[in-house]
Amino acid sequence: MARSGELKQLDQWVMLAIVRQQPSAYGVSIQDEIAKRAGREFSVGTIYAALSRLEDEGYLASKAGEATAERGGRAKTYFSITATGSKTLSESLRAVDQLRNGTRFAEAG
Amino acid sequence: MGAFKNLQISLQNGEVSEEELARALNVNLATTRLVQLDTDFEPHQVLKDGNESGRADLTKEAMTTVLTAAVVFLAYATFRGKQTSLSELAKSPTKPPFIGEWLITLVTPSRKADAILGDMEERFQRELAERSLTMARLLYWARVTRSVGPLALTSIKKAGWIAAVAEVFRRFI
Repeated sequence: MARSGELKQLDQWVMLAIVRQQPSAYGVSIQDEIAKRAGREFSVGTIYAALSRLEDEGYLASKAGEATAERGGRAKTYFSITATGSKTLSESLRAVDQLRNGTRFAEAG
Repeated sequence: MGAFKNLQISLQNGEVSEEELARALNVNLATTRLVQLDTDFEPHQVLKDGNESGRADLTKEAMTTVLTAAVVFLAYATFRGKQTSLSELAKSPTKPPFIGEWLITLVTPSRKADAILGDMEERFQRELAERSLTMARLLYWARVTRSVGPLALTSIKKAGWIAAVAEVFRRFI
């Protein structure tokens, strides 16, 4: 389990998906982005559990969006990355890059 | 009394018709036929029985009317009911399974429930456009099953066991 201030892989993926889709990132689009780029299908519950945790940590901010008929008249919740979240994500990814540098995985991807 | 006997004899001789006798005695045809068969029958008895029979007929008619009205009303109500449920049925395939939504609501903090249910319905609608209703519902249930655990765990982590259970009781019981 990740300690406060540390990001798990799913947290990184969720935050990166939000960055890619800002300012219109919401549950379904985040899920689709992760499935498209990382090839992993996470459940809505798993995505929202991560979103809720990251929001509590102050890495994400949310705001209510528009309700559509396709959603049964329910409003979307849009997520955006905060300054703290952006800094934490950068540090977390840099740590991975530094660990990867000089290994046979350095040029992977 | 004498006139009645004469009428009876006339009826037996075929001089008057049953209808004429019935009119004269102010009773119905069935009573007239009984009079024809029973020679000892007295006119006051015929009139009395005729009145009773008339009352019974009226009661029967009233009961029949009431029953018919009840049947018509029930048929109408049933028809109306079917109309309502048919229109609901026509709409229901486009809605995700109710119990699935309820399960998600049960384990989700209320401020997030709308967003999560909206996302799940959006997926359901997309799948419904591409696949059959059965498949869309199966996939919805698969998502519900996979989502309930993480959502419940998040609620418990946030509020603690006792508060999470108390919240479920507060909302639904």
